[in-house]
Amino acid sequence: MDFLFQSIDGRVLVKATPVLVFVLGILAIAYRYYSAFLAARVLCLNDSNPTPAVRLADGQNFHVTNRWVLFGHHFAAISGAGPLIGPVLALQYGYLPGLLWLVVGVCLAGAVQDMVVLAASVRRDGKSLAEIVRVEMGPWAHAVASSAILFIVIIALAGLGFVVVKALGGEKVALPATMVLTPSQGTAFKKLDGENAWLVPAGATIQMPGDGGRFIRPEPFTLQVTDGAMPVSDSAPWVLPAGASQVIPGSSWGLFTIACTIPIALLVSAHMYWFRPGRVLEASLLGGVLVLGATWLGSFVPGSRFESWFQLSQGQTVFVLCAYGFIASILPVWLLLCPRDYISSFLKIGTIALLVVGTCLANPLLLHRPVEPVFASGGPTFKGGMFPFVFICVMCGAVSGFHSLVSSGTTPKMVGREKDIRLIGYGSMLLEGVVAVVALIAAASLDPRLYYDINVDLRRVPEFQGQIDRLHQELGQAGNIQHLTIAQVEERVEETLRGRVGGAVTLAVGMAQILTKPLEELGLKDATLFGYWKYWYHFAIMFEALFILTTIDTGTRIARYLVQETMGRLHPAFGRPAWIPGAILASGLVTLAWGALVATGSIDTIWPMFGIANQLLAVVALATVAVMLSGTSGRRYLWVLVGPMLFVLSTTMTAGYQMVVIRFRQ
Amino acid sequence: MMQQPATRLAGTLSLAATIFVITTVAVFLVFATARIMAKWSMKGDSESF
Repeated sequence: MDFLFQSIDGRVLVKATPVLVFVLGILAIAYRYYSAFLAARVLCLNDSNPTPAVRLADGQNFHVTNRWVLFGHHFAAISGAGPLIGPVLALQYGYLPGLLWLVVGVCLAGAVQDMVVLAASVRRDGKSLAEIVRVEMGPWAHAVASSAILFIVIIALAGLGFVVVKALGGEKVALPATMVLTPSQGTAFKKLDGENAWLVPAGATIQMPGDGGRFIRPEPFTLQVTDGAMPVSDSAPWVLPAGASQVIPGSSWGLFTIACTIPIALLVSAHMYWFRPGRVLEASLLGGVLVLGATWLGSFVPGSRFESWFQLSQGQTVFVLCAYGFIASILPVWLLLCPRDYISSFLKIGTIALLVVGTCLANPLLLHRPVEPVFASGGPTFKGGMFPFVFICVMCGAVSGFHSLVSSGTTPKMVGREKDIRLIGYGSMLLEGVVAVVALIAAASLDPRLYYDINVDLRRVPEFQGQIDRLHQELGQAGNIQHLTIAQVEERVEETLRGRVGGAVTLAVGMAQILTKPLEELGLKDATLFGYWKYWYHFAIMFEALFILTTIDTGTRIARYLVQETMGRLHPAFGRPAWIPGAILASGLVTLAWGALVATGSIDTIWPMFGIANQLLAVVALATVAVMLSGTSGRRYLWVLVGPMLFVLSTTMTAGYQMVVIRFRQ
Repeated sequence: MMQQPATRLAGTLSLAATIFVITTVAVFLVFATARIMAKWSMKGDSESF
């Protein structure tokens, strides 16, 4: 029974592998029966109907593609960072609500939407969702849908960009005046060279002003104070003056590795188009090896003279990210976007396979509670209550409107046989659900203490400290069975982790833990394992950032086309995607819009907005295909579309209403 | 707690964006419902989706 669960301190802790196997079983049943029902009864897929790839073949956009290659392309295009980040953030409600929504949502809503929209586009000459709306519902509905799509894409880009900024950028977090820092017995504050900076030793006690709570920081951290401020003595309590702040350095290793993927993509592109045309596998292997090499090389950046080049503040990271999105949106697709997507799709599928195998081998305990009562009505990652916000937080792995843009974008133009729609539309969404479940498991296997150390914004610690203390008290020994403190993890990964909200860092730590554990079973010594942690962690950060940057370059381009299409009504030249001034102006406007949201937002403003917008796009997509179905003999099956649409509509509208009310109250 | 101007701006932007998206989708659903009802009441269904 040890394989299934373990009882610690009176609490039964479930293990990860049985959960994963159970979920895989349900998804297999859904694929075998429900997708077959959709294909045969609702969509009446028939291989004798020629697809647009056959009828309109032009060797460029319309081109019959092998079903497995197309499956890989479609999966790579739909899998952004959402399935990785959302389940990690939703863990504040416990792992069960997110897990249930993932399984039910992906089978009955997300995969249905992806498959039916793909079929709709295949039956409408590979038209985009907005064009299908124009054909089915007229120009007014098209205008409304197009503007909603544009806003939703911009909000999605802001949500994903924010995750990268929080994972890589440094910041200075203001500490309240009169906060008291007390070094632990035998330790002392240490003055650092240069600026007015001090190293606060590991184990220092922090007493917040007033009744803000008292807690211990197991890890050392850097404190910056105003000119001349210093403690009475190196080992005495220090009452902080006004203007003190904690310095969180940017991740130079992470940024270096991610920056390397751009020249690597250009090199892969040059290899495929100029040096050795057609040698796709060779170029892919080259890209994969170089990306792994960049991750290893990145370990030499911290402490080197290049460190300052890659150690950016959050503002600088936002600027660099915007510059990347802007340039990638203007450059020809074959130069940067396609080779980058290509490299990242290999990396995505490989890493996910590795993580599934790693989870099965490591079989970690899920240390969080199935349902977390302490944060049931809101917590550090999400302000709102479990209903409806767990459905908003967990989106891409369950149902994501963004996918409908892909299902009505490049994929329908490459489908060779109608029956392949089942594998490509329904199957790849199920795989995305698996990604989300694995991300949830990786985070749920982390010590809850560690989870909240990473996921509580430093500015908001006093707000949540009482609840976190209560949570640890209720969890007892079962909560910290692995006794892995943030200080130990920071030492292993060689990064500052506290307060790095946004989910990416938590997932990277969870992945590093899962991928290191099988090595532990092989009998590797602790010192060697510590060495592996930092590589797994930075590999995971690079993997997540690749997911996100792929979406940012593609998303900025999609939004640019939408803006150009609208501006084309004012002046015809703007409507031509190849017209450079129009492309620059439209890309600039789009980048400015999402960049402003990232620069000014926080995780609890951006992620809910992203979730609501993304799922409202799913409502638009489901409503559009419902309109199509209602005019056919398959309309008796309208419930397969209207059911999930009404459910998603109810959760998003409730969340939207609550968000607006919360904002007005502030 | 006093909010920073940037945080207030973010709050206002996210509020405006959320209201805009909800409104446009609500308007779109009115169009979609009307169209479904019109198609439902029409005779002579097409056989394919």
